[in-house]
Amino acid sequence: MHRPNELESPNRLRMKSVLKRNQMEPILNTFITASQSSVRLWPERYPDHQAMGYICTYAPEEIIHAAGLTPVRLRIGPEPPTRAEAHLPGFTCALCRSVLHQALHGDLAFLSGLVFPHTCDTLQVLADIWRENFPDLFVATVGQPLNLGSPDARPYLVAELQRFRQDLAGFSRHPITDDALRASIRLHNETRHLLSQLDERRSRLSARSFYAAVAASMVMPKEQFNPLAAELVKLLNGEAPRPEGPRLILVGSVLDDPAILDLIDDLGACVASDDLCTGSRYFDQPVAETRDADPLEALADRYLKRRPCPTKHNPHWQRGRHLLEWVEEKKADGVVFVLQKFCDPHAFDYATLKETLDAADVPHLLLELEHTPAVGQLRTRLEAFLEILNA
Amino acid sequence: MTKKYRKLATAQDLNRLMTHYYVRSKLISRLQPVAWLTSGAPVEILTAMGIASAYPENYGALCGARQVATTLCREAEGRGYSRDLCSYARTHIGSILKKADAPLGGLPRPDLLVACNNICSTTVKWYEALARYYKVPLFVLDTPFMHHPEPEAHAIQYVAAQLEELIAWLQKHTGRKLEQKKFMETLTLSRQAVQLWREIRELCQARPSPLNAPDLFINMAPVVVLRGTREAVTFYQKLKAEVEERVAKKVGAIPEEKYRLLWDNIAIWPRLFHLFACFADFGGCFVVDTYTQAWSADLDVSEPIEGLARTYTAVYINQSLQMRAETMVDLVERFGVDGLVFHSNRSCKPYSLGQYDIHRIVTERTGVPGLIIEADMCDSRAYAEGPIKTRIQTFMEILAR
Repeated sequence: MHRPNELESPNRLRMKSVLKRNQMEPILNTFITASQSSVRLWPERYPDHQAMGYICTYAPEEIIHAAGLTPVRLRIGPEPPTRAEAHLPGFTCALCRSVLHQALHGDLAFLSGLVFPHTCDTLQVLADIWRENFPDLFVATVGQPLNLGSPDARPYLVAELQRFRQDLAGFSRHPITDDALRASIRLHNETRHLLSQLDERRSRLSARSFYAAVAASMVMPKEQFNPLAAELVKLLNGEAPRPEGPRLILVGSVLDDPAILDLIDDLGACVASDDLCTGSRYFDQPVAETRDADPLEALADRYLKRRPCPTKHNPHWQRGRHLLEWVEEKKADGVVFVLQKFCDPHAFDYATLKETLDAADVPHLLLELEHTPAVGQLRTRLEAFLEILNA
Repeated sequence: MTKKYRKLATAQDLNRLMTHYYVRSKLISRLQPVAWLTSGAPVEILTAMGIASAYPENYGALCGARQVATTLCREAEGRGYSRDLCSYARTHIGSILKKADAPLGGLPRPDLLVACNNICSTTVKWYEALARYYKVPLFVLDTPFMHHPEPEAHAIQYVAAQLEELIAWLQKHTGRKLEQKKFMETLTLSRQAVQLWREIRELCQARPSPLNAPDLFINMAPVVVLRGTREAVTFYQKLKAEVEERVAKKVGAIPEEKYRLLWDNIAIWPRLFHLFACFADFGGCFVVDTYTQAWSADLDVSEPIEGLARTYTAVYINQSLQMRAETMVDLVERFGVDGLVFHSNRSCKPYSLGQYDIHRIVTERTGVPGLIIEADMCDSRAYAEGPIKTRIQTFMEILAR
């Protein structure tokens, strides 16, 4: 913890803090704008970049980047996903319906293509639907092994990454050299490192600001994101923690709508940590940077050891046990499940995690999210939960 | 309603065979290790090793047909399993939580679990829950989804390598070995049953069709749970003879076949006869379906491991929607189909989510209209009687024009 210099007067300190806040604001605003404004504006905002969309944290961003393209993660948009209704039944998650709607609505016309790593059954079908409805678009599917504990997973994954590398090089007419891959790995590792540093300084940021930074890192060119994030980390050093209410751990898949984060901030709670794919699962674990190693093997190894998504079977990863460890380590008061309705892998894990938390007497709350969350109802439920934690 | 349903003489044999199977699987657990498998798992390896198999999915269907699935689902929901999850999984988990309500007293306790994702990845989450509950080892077999007709060589190698792993894993946990002779024998029997099943299905190209969808759904049970055994082969020989006789005598599955229909997706078990009777009232007979053909792909026994890897990777719902549409176009043409009926099954995302596009492709290419019914394979709460009936009526009127 930062200790105030005794020689500095309280006034001077306050002034410094205000100054820092003033410097932080434009950075945070950039992140909020990048993550919240219409995806249509992407090409205007980054005119020198050619975008390649992707849809899940198992997409090999480094390979996309090494092909001279800028990986852009697709997110749940604000519009009701009406155009997806002709392609997907009502029991499809909001993410898949929303991104398909955005595409059919023309919002994603700036993308050179789209990359689907293999994770859940819904994305598996969505990739085919995309190919069917955008026959001229480059749509890549990349196999990602299901059983991370199998000795056969690694060679298969390396072969799939190699195949993707060739397909993408053919499409972009841009050879993907080992050196370019290594440079991309360095750049992406830097992003992961900076996000981890922000993660350690969460208590000095609002929940909304922290997740805006993570979301910005997934849509901005990393070359532009990294210096801003580094500056933000520096400014946060020595910044006093925000007044703290109950400490929460968020568990779920994508949390793209800031409404819940605003609620958490408004109600005076704080997010101590998360297991989200728009949170820690995105920046967990660097890729090894050894000069002689095959960069694709290094990439594969990260996928096998990073914090897994529930679509993956990992006999060595007990999600419940890890969650309890985080609760302890982060001194969390409770767990909030923010689950997208119709996301089966998370819904299955919920039953198990609930049992684990109950057995350990850790309070928890389930918030089920649909495309347009009923904020009033969420607020009431969250408020009631926080009251229990405060009691 | 039931008068519209012409019962097969072999129904008795089927009944005897399946009852025998369930009773025996209870007794056998004292003599042999029992593995629970997903319906698309390579059971031939286990059968050849003398490991008994039980199928939670099949059990879910049985509970659905016996109208107890919804009660069991509620049990699972009480433990935190969302109502949006697969109703086979909820039903089966419910049968474990509340044995008193479980038909046949539930499945025999497992010693091992084998889950394969060629039918869906839900099975993996379901089996993870089972492994935690029973504290028994789980093997997860990953068969990469086929977005393209020709699987990558490295994908087949990957599956083959896992099959070798599976054999070693089974040996480690049961002490039983895979004898080559027994393995070939099992593969041959499996192939025979599958081939007979395929031939029986093909006989429905005849007019009138000798079988309707309920016949297919009921009679597929042995090819799922008993493939690789002699009893399955014997049963399908007998069934085939009866179906051939129907064809020769021009005896249809329903009294008056006017429209030849195709069914897509898993059956609606609690309403199996009721629903198909609604179509039969209008002279609609389901001459073919996409679900029961999942167990009709040929197996290359000359390279058994690679053959199994190929066959199990290429099951129908592990194929892209484009490939499935292609298959459906072929079925429409070969079976002289007049109408498509898609069950949009809340329980089964990999099967149901591409249906709207498949419908459009197949209708565009064949001119055959389609109907989408939203329901669930087991959970009767998702079945809206009135609206479904109206939609069927409207659809049959369109066919009549």
